[in-house]
Parts: sequence; structure tokens; C-alpha cells
Amino acid sequence: MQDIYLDYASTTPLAEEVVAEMAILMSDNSFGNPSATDHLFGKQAYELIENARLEVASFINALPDEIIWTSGATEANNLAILGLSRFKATDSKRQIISSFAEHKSVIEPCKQLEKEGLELLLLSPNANGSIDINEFEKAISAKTLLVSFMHINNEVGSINDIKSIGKICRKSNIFFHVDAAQGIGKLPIDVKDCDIDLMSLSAHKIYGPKGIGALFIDKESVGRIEPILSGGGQERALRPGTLATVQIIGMASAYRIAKDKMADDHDHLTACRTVFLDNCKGLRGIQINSNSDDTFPGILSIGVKGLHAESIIYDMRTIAVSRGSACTSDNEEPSHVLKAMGLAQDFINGTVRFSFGRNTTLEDAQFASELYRNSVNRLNRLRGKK
Amino acid sequence: MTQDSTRHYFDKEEHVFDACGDQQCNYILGTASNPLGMQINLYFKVEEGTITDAKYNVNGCPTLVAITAYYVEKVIGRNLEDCTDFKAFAIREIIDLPKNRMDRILLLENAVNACIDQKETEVK
Repeated sequence: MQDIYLDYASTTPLAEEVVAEMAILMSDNSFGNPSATDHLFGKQAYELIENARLEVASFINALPDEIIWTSGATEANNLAILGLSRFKATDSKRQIISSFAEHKSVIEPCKQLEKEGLELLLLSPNANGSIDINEFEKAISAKTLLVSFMHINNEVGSINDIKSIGKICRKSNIFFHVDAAQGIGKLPIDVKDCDIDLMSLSAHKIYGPKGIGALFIDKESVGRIEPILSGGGQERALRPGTLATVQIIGMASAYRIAKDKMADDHDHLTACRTVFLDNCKGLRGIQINSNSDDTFPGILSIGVKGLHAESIIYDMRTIAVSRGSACTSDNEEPSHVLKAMGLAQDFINGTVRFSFGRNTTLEDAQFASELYRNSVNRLNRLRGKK
Repeated sequence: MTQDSTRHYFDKEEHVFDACGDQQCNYILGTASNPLGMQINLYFKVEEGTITDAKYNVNGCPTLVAITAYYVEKVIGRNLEDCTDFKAFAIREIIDLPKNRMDRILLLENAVNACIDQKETEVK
């Protein structure tokens, strides 16, 4: 039996169409430096990149010159939070609001700004893993400069009400940044309709290449931010460095496919989740960490009281999944997201994240749930609990 | 090789203590746990100073499960006083034990010592 990949929230394989487009580029004459537009090779690369920029921008209803290429969503988050706050903070507006459920690439830059003298307020998510709008509204004040929340939570799949948060921010004259690393291409998002000022984008979670991402910066409401890197004038001097033509084309290609397949993907992921959960009915001691209408169906985070996720994963053998978030799973620190959701340590230790994708079959979901069920039962037997 | 052994002993269930079936037998129990929520329950049956049977319940990482299963298999037939001589068990040569998991042996050692303490209490 081949290993079954159920770690799509961590990263996805490249879509065939993306591979094909990237492969053509790797062997043709578009290897030129896109900044070297004095010759044909550079011009060709430049044009490809600008077409890709248009494609990515239109996907979120932005303008092409509102898209800044980055190495991924982590860099985009850093650039958005550090760049905006350092450029726009004033004596009267110097508070940042975010949440304990955010990715480390949001929380750490926020903490860096706190060290630099800004005020930081991290909100706790509700039991479902999302931000309570009323709590959020109470937390903002005249001193709030920036609010940063993710669209879909990478660990539990909870979805934040980005539109309502955006409206509140716009009304209160607060900049709003969205980390859409996990949400882009999975749920529709319109930056203008949601009043988003900055949004971080990735490619590798929607069947595009790793090492490429982008930051949307609203031209009107934000305009300028401060770069965090120096040494080149690329991307309006906001993000210096030679652009990665092939990856950028791959990202645009992945977005184009996502546009066509988003609704079908969503239905398919819902079906995978249903098959998996139906098969887990009656399994004692399990708890689904986010399971409401506001949960993205592709991410299924399940905890078992008292067990250790590492052993569950080891016991399942052929199922590739994560415990907590993949980025921090090499250390033994419990997931900061699950902790913030108020989960007992017993459940956190035993939490496994299954994440389904376009290539997951219903048979895969069924088989994985059977292995999961067997592993939980076996490990309970080992610890003397029937 | 050690990774294969880890898998082998992780998968073994031969000496797992079954609360229903094994409760009638006269085992001494030693328990140890750590702040990560890992726990070992060791059950020794001791006759005239010799461990004639041993069982366990364990909850923790795969390394802990494997070293417990391995240790229990090897401790049967030994004298109780020899069962803390961990070097003789050569656990590190058999089970894949990363540096950051050396504390799992200490946890096992604590459970073994708890068994010995229990036996001494019984004797007194």
C-alpha cells in the first residue's frame, strides 16, 4: 500500500498544469533578469512576470501594482506588519491587535514591534478557533494602528469573518492585514469588498511552487510601507532581489486553476471530511477541535484525550499527517493555537491534523480513518484503557 | 537496524497488561510519569527473588513504548536486584534513542525503582 498524503495544509504537490508551464519556461529564453529590460531576454521575463502579476491581482480583485512578489507568505507577513507599523505608527496610533491563533510569522514580527516600543494586544480565539467579532470590537480603540488576522487557521481550519472585521477596521480608520496563506484559492476573497489593506499570499498550499508568495498592498488606503530588506530597487524598492520568474509563473498558473476548481474542490473536501468522520463515529475520547459551519472542510484536527499524537502517527505508518502545525512540530512545545483555544493539555498532546486535498480520494479518506481508529484503539489498549 | 527494532518493539503487544485478564495474578506495580503526560505502569511477578513474569501499560512517544516493551521482554527471568542494571539491557544499542529522548530511560528507571520499592514494602 502506497503512503497516503493527508498533509495538504502543510504543503501541496504541484498541479500537473503548473509543472508543465514551469517546465516550458525553464528551457526557453525567459531566463533573463526581469530587471534587465535593455535586452530581449530580460524583456521577455519582465512581460511574463507582469502578466502573472495581473492574473494574481485579478484573482483577489486588486490592481496589478498592488501586488509585491515575496518569497512566500512568511516574508509577506513580516513585510506587512513590520513595514506598515514602522512607517505609519505615530504617538497616538501605535497599537497592534492580532490573535494567539496566528501563525508564528505574524506573532513574532508583532512581538518585535512591541520590543521597538509599540503596544501589542493578542486576542484569544473562541473555542472554535476563530475571532469573536464582539470581543474584537471591544478591543479596538483610537490608538489601534493595525489589525492582523488570518483567513483560515492552518491548524484547525476555523474561518475568520474577514468581511465583518474589515468593515469595522475601515470604519475605525485602522489598517487591516490578512494572512491568507491557508485561505487563498480555497475560499473566494475580494480585497475591496472585505476592506483589506494588506494581504499575504502563498502558492504552495494551492498546488503551486514553494519559495514564492506575494503581498497585496492597497494603493489608496496604505500607499507606502517601509521595506524590511535593502539592496535593490525591485518591486518599487519594497522588496529588493531578482524576481524568480519560473516560480511566479507557477504561482499565477496555480491561481488560474484554483479559480476554476474552487467550488468543486470545496465539495470534494467536504465529502472527504464526511467519510472520515462518519467512520470515526463511536470512537471514544476523541474531540474535533473545530467543527462548525465556520470550519474549512479540508482541515480536520482531532484530539484524543490522554494519547500522544506522535505515537498515533507512528502507528498509522502509511498516512502522512501532522501533529499541530508542521512548522513547529519538530519541537515538543504544545501547539500555541490549541492552547489559545482553551484545550486541555491532554487533548493537545493527542491532536493530529488530517488535511485533505484535490488528489485525496474518498477511499483514501476511508482507509485513513480506519487506520486512525485502529491506532487509537490499540494505543488505548497499550495504556490500559479499553 | 535500531529503527527497525524500535518499530518491532512498538508493535509488540505480547506483554501488555490486560486489566481484565491479568488482575487476578499477583503482580507488584511500579508507576512513573513525566510532565509531558507520558506514563509507564510496570507489573512484575516476583517469585523467590526472580522476576517470573512482567507486563506493562505505557502511554507516550514511540520511543518510550518501544523501550518499555523491549525492557519488559528482557527482564523476565532476571533477579529483581539486577533489573536496574540498565547497561546490561543495552537499550541504546537496540532501540533508536535520539539524544533529546534520553529522559525516557530515566522514566523507565523510575518505574522499575517504584516496583522495587513496592516489593520492599510488601516484604516489610
